[in-house]
Amino acid sequence: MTHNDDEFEELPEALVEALKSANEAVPLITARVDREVLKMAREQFAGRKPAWRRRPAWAAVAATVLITIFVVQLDQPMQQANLPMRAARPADISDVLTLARE
Amino acid sequence: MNDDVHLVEICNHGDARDAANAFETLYKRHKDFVIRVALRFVPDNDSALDVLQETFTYLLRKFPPIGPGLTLTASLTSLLYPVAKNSALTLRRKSDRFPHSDDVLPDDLPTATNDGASDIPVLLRGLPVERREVLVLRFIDDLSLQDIATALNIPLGTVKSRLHLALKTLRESPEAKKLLSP
Repeated sequence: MTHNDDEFEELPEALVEALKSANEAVPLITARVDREVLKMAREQFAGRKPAWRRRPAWAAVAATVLITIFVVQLDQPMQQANLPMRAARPADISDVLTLARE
Repeated sequence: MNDDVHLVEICNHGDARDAANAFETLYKRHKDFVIRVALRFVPDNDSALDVLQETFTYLLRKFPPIGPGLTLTASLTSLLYPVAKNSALTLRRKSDRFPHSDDVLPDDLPTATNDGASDIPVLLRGLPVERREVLVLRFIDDLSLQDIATALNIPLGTVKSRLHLALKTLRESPEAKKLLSP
């Protein structure tokens, strides 16, 4: 069975209103239930830390990563300068000139 | 729905105050819907309030630290509907005050106060339960067809088919014709 989607939107307004009024919930005093439900919610969420107290952990991780990158970058030029001297071959004039340039 | 998604996200990951406030907003926004659903299955206000409390307790337990968190893939009403309905039916079965019934919708639908709408409960009672449920969700609760399918855990095509048949019955009924006549 195929149906046009539009037909599901088509019901005379008077009929829709009648349906709604026929199913109208009677007014209820829910203050006690409101209080109990919201109290439960507050109790369940109470253990959570505020956002500002959760940030330092991430900040510490980020800072550690940045410092590590910085230190590694500082160390790289020295390693490059030392490369010819650590090579497994006798030193020659090119090594001397490299060191002189540094 | 998008706003509900945002509030649910705060309930999942917000701090104590934000999460409680977000939950309160969700509760205030949807409690009338839950009460309305409950009153379709239980005959008195006290029972409907119990259903309301149970439904939102269920929702609350979806969030950390008790639950793993909630991801909304449909509207929140389509999640709340089956919870409220099952809670109400369980309460109805447990209680000695209510007659036991296999019919998922009670026959004692609220009666309307104005003359024009007074035939509608009679008309609704004449519909098969499954068609009546889809009709009520569509035109009284304003759920989309997809949300109805999610809420009832049935294919979209089945929703369309049931609604088509319910509307056909409704349009052809003398009660509806009387209501629509000038």
